[in-house]
Amino acid sequence: MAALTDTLVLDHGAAGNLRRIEELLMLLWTPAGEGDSTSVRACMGNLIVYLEREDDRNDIEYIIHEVVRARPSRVILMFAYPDLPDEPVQVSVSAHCWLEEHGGERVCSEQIRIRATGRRIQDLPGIVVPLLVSDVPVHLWWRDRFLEHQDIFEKFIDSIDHVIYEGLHWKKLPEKVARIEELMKRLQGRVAVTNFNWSRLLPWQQRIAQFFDHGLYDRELDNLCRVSIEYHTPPQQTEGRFFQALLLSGWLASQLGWKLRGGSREGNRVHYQLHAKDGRDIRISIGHKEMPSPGTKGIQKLRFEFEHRGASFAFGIDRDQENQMLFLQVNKEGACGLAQKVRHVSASFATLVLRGMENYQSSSMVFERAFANAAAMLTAVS
Amino acid sequence: MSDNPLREGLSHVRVPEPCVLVIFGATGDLTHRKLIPALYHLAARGLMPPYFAVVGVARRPKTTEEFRAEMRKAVESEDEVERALWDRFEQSLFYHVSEFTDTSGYQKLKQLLEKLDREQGTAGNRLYYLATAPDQFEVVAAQLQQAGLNKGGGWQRLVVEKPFGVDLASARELNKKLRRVFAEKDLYRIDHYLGKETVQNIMVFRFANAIFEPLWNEQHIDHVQITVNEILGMEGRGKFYEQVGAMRDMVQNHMMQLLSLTAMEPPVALDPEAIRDEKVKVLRNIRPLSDDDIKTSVVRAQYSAGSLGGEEVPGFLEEPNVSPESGTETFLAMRLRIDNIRWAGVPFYLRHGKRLPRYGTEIAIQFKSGPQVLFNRNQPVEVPPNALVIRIQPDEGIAFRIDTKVPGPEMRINAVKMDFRYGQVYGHESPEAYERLLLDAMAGDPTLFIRGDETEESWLLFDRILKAWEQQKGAPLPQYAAGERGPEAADALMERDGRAWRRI
Repeated sequence: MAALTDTLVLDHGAAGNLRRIEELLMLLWTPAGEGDSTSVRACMGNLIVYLEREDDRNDIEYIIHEVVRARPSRVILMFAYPDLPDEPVQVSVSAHCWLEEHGGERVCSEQIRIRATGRRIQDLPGIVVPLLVSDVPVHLWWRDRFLEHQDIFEKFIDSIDHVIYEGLHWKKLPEKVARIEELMKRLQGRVAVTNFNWSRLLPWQQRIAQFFDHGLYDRELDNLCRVSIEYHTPPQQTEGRFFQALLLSGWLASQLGWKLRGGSREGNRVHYQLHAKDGRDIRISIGHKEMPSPGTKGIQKLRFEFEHRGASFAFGIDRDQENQMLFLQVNKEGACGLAQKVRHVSASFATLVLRGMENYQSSSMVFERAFANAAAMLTAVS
Repeated sequence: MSDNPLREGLSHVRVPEPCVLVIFGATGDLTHRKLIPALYHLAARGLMPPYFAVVGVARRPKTTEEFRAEMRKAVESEDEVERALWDRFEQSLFYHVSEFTDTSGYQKLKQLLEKLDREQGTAGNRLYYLATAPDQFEVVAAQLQQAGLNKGGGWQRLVVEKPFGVDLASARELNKKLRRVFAEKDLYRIDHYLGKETVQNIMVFRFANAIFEPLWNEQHIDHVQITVNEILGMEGRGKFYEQVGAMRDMVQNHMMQLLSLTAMEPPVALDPEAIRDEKVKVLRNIRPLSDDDIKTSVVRAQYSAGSLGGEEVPGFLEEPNVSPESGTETFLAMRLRIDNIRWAGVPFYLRHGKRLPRYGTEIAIQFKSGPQVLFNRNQPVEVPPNALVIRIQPDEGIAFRIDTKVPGPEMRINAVKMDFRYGQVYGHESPEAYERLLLDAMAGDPTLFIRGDETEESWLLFDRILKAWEQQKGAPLPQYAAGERGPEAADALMERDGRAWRRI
């Protein structure tokens, strides 16, 4: 099987161009000759990626290879260079291949690269949509500035099930959040929206939820009165990391039915007052430390404090110094100090994409509610 | 757990309540190779209870520190060990030396468990795991009762490894004795086949895909073949295997589980009792074999010396620790019928053997041929029937054989295979069966464990065969050469029905 086809310049009219791309895909699966081993084509979905940075090419190849190994998909990479002069759109086709575990067959997923410049980037949806594999989910990963070219994004809405975007490098947070919130309301029930800031929270959410699963602490949710979140951020991600902490707070508030009463800033910390359905007051406190990059980033420490009839105790989750473990501990008088260590490897981009692809149906409603609460919390301290 | 509002949208991987896992037979192979590695992997993924301890019990004197070091080596031999995780995990491992018959040893064990409850917060919950020889099951259970270890503030469960008896009488007796100590709901009879993803997928495949269930009956299915082929011979287990043979080792338990899951009616709910009720009904509906049936529908044989994988291998009777006069079967093929409306007239063929040319476990649903008239009007055209194959191992997956027209001016039909493989689509290996089963036992979910009446119903069927074989004791068994497809009599069994075994 060919590893990479020749580059095709799209100048044959709409139908001709698409037919030629299909031919390239066919060519990919035609054995080159005797002795060329056959491969198995695997496809569980479509993954469309929108990119604007030339220096991203190698990184993205690596990430996509990891993604399709775990979740074989037809990948369509859209390289859009709006600042370059108009040129004919170029297309090439290749495959990501790997051997099955224990020396099984060679398994491959197709990848189509499309390069568009200048005004021709507007042509991308018209080229991509006819190339989607039917009957399997369509995920759109907006690798670069989401909603910067909203007109292009809008043309995909009827053809996709899920959009994933990054939220870490956001500037002008209130404006960005308001636009996303408006978009999510409009797409509700049609296209699931998740972001990497949300996906990065998954291991933390799992640990928090697990704590309340078993019989020992399941009733303590009603006694939860204070939550403290500490995170580290490099200078260029200050707003994005803050919003990640707000997403975690928003998730707790929406899942536990807390209503926001107000917020305040105090140096490096923000504080929120919330009200539970049973009349309890809850306080969420978020603090951060700026760290030079590279360094430990994101959520570092969570603390949950419980009070009931004058007695109190706390549950904490800390990242360890090597940044590979989570350390879970309970401080409760008269009880055994819970001290669990569990693996916590910082998620790679491939992991984040996969989390989004695997969980988008189940988590998007939860995300939307958490996002709405996080947006309200942001407004309260803006 | 379903009441936990923070669980919405997150995977519902169950984290059990705090507990102590007490492993009897802690120096044995199962503990080293399966149980401790499975527990370590669960702990690393954060799936072990927040407070837990593992107490290994065995006769061999050693300290807890020595036990921890041995267990670390055992895990390292299978996988890479992360030091920080292991250092925390091993703090939960303890060793208790005791003869299984020593009453004072159980009293000391009780004291240790109470101490762990106080120090490790394990809340009186106990999971006892019998990783011992079968003759110790009743002994340990009785001692647990005598020491009062089967009751207390928390829950107490007992995990039992197969074999669950060697015939109907012994299975009943074992069940009776175990139930004196633990309620049936607290008895977890483990069949590691049920921990395999593909086995669990049988129900999903059947009941989640609406296109198959309407075809899953005697109107559309010609017959079912369940095959468990092994390349391996005795591999040092000759003494054990000679006691059990192919029937007790594989057919009566693992293969009957596969049959039950394939043939069962949809359960009223996906809860443990509803599923196990349906499995038991299948076993109850299997037509008992008469003496004549046993002669004509059951084939047993032994492998003789042969060539396999480019090597000469000895016959069963030449294997170490096997008597040269042994009458133990290493191959068993049989035809069963299920007398209910769904399966009336559909034979289920079971086949299992050692030293066969290819390793593999599968369930093959052979559909009836469609009407041939359309394609046979002018000249005969062979239209192969459809087949659906659920592969359990290796290459876990599902394949479907359909007919297609060969391109060209003439009407030629060719069967092609649509093949789904877990490894190709999901790209990672399924979790080890013991991880799932240990987690379920700690969490109190018996769905993937065998209920007492299942074992007895299965033995009821096989007991008749054992009795018939008893009468033939001393007669040499038919032989098949190692590396060949099995005895001719197995082929003849199918040929008499106008069918053939699948080549796997």
